[in-house]
Amino acid sequence: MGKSLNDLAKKLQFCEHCGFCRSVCPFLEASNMEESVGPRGRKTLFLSLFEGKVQPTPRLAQKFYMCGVCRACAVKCPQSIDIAEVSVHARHIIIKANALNPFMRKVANSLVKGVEDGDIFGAAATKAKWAKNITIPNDSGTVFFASCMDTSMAYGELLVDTLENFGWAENTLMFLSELVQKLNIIKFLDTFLKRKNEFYRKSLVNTINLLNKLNIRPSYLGNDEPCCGAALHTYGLLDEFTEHAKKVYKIFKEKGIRRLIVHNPICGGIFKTEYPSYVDGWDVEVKHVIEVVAEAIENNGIELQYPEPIKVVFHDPCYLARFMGVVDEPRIVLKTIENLELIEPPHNKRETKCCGGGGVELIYRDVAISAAINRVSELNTGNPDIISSCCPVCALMIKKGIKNLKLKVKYVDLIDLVNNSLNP
Amino acid sequence: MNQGIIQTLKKIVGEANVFEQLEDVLPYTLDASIIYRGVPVCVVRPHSTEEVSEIVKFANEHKIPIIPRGAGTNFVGAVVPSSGGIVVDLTGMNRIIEINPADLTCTVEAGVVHAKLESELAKYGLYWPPDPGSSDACTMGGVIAMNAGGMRALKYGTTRDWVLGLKVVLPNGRVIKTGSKTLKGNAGYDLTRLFIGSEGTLGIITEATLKLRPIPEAENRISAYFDSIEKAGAAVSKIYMAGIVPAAMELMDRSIITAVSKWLAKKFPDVDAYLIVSVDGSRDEVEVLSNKVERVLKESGASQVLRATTQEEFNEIWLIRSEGATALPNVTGKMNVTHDVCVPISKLPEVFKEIRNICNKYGIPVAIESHAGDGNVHAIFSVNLEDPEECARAKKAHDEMCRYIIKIGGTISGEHGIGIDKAELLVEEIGPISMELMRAIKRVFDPNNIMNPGKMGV
Repeated sequence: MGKSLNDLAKKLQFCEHCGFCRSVCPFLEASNMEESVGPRGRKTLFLSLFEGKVQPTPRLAQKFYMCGVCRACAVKCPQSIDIAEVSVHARHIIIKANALNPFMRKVANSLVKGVEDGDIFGAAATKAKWAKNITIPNDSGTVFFASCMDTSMAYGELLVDTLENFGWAENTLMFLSELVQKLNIIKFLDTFLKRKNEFYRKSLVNTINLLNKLNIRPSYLGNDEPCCGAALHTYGLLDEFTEHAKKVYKIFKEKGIRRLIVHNPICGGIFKTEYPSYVDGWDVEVKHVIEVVAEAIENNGIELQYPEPIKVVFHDPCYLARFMGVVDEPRIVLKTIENLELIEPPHNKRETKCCGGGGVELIYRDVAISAAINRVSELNTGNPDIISSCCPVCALMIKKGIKNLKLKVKYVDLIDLVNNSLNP
Repeated sequence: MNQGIIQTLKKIVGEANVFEQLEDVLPYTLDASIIYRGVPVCVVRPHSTEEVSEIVKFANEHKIPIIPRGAGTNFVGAVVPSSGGIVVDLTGMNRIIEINPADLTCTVEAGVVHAKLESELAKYGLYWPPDPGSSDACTMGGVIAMNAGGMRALKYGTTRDWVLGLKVVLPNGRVIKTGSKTLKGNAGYDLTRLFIGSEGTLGIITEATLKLRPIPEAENRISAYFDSIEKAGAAVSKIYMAGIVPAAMELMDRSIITAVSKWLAKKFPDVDAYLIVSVDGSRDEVEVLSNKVERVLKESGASQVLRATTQEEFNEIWLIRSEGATALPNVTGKMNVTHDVCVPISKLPEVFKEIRNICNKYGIPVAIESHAGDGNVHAIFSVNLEDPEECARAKKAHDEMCRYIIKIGGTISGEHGIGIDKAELLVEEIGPISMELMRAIKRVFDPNNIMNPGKMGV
């Protein structure tokens, strides 16, 4: 299943080498425009790899893993060539040739285990904790897919922070992370990470609250919720992803799920754009919560008012805008909120610019932070009070950008903003 | 030997800025010509003129070829390391050093991307008129070294008309400044203009001072369909004869119209050619010019004339122009190989006809796109690059086309340059004496022939 390498290589023959992809790649910009880590360079390298002119090596892996799979290049390309897809397939070839360096191999192993256990950060034991105080029905054909990235991003943040500061000991850190999981001290760590957890998990509670206000009562799978496997896909673990996607579909079918509402657009994007090519007969409808809210506003109208006047800039996550194709809905909703002035950043909608995440933050931390700083600088140009988005990885990277630039602006999740604007 | 070169270069620019593994250098083996390839010994990324100077000095002492490179967007193989050597990638030198609105000048490093400069200048209400199609990617060093043109060339000229001075590292490593920061200059030989369009064969341009203009207050577009491309070509001269100097005149032939129609599943009139005339100036001027252009196009036998009255129409008129290059390969299943020639504008009608004849003879599908206002014609061949026999036929068609263009008083390059692609044909246009003079100039600058060897026939 998935796309064939021959088809991909054939499509690449249409590349005119115009270099327009160079103008939009956030990781190329963060690498001071060095060709071999940009989309056009990756195209040349992929064809060379496909034709056997270059061998899979850790050095080659660097070129393909310095891509956030954000798809900005695909939107810019006159031939709509998707170099993100090229990166994913090249990673697959490199993994199969066992050519990752030891740290990247450890990350791969950890992802495979995490996805299998239901949480990519290995925190399956605590992932349903956010929902313990709310009543959620469990018999609806519509399910709120909470996403392990949203429920456990605090662990992700801890890992990225630690790697950022102690990158020289990256192999040891990965060992410690495995140890934490083995010793099953996640629950202890969960309390330690209380504030970080609250930051990410409150958006989930708010999502349910908001949906309920709109008379939508989805169920939630709790500890049975599988991981979507997006990380397997982007990391190039395509064999594992193929198997996993089938399992996920089977779970959905057994539970009679026809429709998913997601908050994390990464899961939504993978379900919407990748599952159909990997899972025979995929027929589950996937919507982002902001689509549902926008629909309700358009049909019934809701009064929304933010407690005080604020200026908000909205950052379109790549997965929401370019994978899920959702660009108008966040604006429909934000423009309904009284007291809220919406500003558009320089790169927006389908032309949005990646936050610097996409997996790069785990491996090439400096490049990812540079990309985050570049994006946050642009987002801040209109002097907003709040930068808003709705993706846990964007949240992490935007916070990092704000911190590095020492800005006053705050990051607030889109759904939190809407929820805070509901009349009590 | 190679290890020695690499060690020295690492001392000059730092370890992180020298790339020698195959995985690193493969992306630097080609440019937008696609068909030409060459593997360099290494790629080096300097971040100052001083570093460039040290690199070149070292290469000259050891007679190692140097290939200066920007974004590699040229169509003629101008930055392909065909003789190996050291690729000097200047994209890391990307600072806009200064913008002086009061003097109407700016100074930039070689690696600044054209579109980036355009957006920075726009903040001051200024622009640099040359507008190469590769704006989003191409660097100013490349634009200058290749003397890039663009659509506005008929009114504003090409790169050569808009550069006031340069900082150049000569092939012996010494650094010179040419020209001045003034809007006029007449001090001695015009070395600035000699470097512009020299395709990296005389030295490495590291900085440039550019002449700027205020952005025109308004712009409008008028489009016209013609049942024959010859008639469209003739309309171009008539526009000038009516006393109008448009900002651009772009012509697309039937192949492009059909391809865009198929690609976008959109119906266009069944005609042989489509002409877009763009006018700019003050609001009043644009209004008057638009009226005149509309009238002349109708009098020239256009079957349908549309003048943009809204932003949507303004964009819509451009659709066939902007989508052509994307549509063609998707419809033909073959690659676009774009060739660039330029002729006196009165010859356009017969040139269109003859290019089609020549390509017909060799069985190569051709689409014609023309910056018709300055006689610049882009013949886009559709070629299967995997088929050597077809490539050979395309090459024959190309050479025959160029020889025909020379015969009627045209030039084998309006704006794309010579590179490897036309290196052998250049002498046929300029003659052996001029060619020898060019080679003599090259020897004065670069006696060891280290600077971009094998390009431009010098």
